[in-house]
Amino acid sequence: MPWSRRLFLKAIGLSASGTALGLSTSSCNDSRQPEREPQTNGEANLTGSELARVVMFAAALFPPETENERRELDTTIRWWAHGRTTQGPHLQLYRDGLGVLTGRTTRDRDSAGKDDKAIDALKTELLEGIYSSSVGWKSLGYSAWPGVPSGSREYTTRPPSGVRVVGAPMAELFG
Amino acid sequence: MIDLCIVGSGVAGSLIAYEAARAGKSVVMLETGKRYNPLDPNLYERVRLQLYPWQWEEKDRDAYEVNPTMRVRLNGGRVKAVGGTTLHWNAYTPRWQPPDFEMKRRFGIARDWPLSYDELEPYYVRAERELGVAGGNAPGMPPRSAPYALPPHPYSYSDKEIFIPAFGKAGLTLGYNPMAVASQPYDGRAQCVGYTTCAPMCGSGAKYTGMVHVRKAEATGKAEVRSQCHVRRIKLASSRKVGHVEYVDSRGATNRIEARAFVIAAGGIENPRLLLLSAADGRHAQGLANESGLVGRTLMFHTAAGVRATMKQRVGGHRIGFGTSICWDHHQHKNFPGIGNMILFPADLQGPMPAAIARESGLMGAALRGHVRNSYGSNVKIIAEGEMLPNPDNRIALSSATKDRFGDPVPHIAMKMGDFENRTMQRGIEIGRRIMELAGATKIWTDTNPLGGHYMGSTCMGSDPRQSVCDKYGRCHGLDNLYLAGSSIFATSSASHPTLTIAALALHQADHIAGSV
Repeated sequence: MPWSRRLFLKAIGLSASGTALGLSTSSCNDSRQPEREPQTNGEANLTGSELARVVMFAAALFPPETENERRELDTTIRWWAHGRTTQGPHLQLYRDGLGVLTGRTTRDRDSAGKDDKAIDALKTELLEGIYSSSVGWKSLGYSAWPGVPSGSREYTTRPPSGVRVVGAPMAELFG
Repeated sequence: MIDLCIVGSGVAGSLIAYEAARAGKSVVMLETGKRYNPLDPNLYERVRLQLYPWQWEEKDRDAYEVNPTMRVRLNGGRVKAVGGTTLHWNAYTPRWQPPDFEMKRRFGIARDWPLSYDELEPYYVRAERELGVAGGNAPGMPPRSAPYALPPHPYSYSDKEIFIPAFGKAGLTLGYNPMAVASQPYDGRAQCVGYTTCAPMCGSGAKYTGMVHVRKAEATGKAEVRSQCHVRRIKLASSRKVGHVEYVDSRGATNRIEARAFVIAAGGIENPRLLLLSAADGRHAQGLANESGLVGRTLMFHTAAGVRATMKQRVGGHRIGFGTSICWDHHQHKNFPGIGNMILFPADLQGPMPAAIARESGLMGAALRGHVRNSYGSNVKIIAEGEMLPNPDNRIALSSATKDRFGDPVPHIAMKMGDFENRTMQRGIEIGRRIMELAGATKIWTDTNPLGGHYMGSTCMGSDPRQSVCDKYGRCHGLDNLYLAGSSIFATSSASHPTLTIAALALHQADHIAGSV
């Protein structure tokens, strides 16, 4: 389906106003736990609850097709979000996106624009994480990807053919 | 007093340090950047997280000025750290062609080097062994007196299936691309096992970095590397002799170091900048070694014409971190004076990554997954890397407005592509497009850009002190104990990557320096 904020919020079980719809959050069990203390240095890290929400959002963007994939997505996104926020300058991006998606937002016109940007930024960040790591590359049929040794001659062989999906829209990406 | 002080610890500085130390000279290398272990798994974790592993703190990045029409990314093109830009280079190591050194005499354009290919050839052989270059035969490649250090990396799937046949249909030939990436275990380095992240960081240690020779130099017991020591000035003892350099260490303290000779090996931007910053009285009023007025001038990049295409079939991509083939047919000096030389190489880092396809798709859910599956893995690219002519108006000067954290003017880069360069890029696009058509591409699109990472010619060597900054050993005209090393001393740009030639020149210089200091 085409990306839209409304559909995304619905997929993660929130109304457009940020009210919980009660949909399943099976990929983020931790979100049902009391919020944990920040992991190392105060506000500098995402909390366990925040990480769980991030996983939930990732699963809405990239719905797992198997139980194994669900587990891998969970592990991967936790690693990705934790790494990017502790080793990189991305903590605020996550905080802003999470803040909007969990309803901590105002309703005036200026804020709506900022909210959209915050969600877009978080969506982009999560897609980067999914498709730069094992879960995304495996979904394309690859057994190795940048950052993982593929063997000394794998690149000389026919690549994975992927799975052609009939009917998926083909956007003009490269013009 | 030590024998040799070297400013900069990249491939040029570290090779000279090693050779001088091996000859028994005492050496201190001053490096403005930090020291990293290129095999540190914590650093590699950053690569997996799509974070840059080297000198990532923004405050450490360099301010600079550049005319807005040029897409120069100075901080993306160089690394300030022990080992220098070889930490994140792609490790392409083609030699240059013999006529590249005799452009004025043979073709009446550009200028001549003060040494010939034949003089440099034995040093190319040594450089290939020091760097562990893997390569094989390629039609039209420069003449050589010895085999490569290592056998070539086999051709990629796309080279075998698409490009070798398509180049053949176009009347062109591909051969093995020489790479300083170990195709077998070599000199303590592991064999390449396909991490594919050569730039910015090799996962296995197969790629050569300047750290190889930094460590070898240190192992002699005669060389010391001082990281995070930023040299601000070169100070004269007399009008013909340097006495010491002044530097700021990691604690912010100002120090000086005296030596019998000095080598400035800080890259194509910082070499001229340091000479300009070190202006002194008398004939050095416009900068050290600048009586010719050429310090900072004739800066050259390489041009890059890229032709991308979508193929009918899957070709993979991103399964190896470099191209495995190269075409020398348009680096034969046949089209002068209208069009410059270029080397053509199919890039195996092909097309957008899955993450980019996902980001730009505007999709989510099952539709997103299907779209990325359908879209990824069918793109290819050919790059035509071309030469630039030395133009005095292309230059590095000192900024009049912006200062660095030490209070010194940052580099101001003025660059303009001339008709020669534009024609060369255009021809590269025509050739690349023709090959893609012959390969059966379903969609073709192009881009042109000067490469940001190769900074050459800004303190050029030559025989005539009126028309060059240093002699064939990199020794500054009029300064008996000051040497320049690296791509800044190139007289021409060639069309080929600079690093092997930097290394060969450094070994040539090192023999002279070790014998004369």
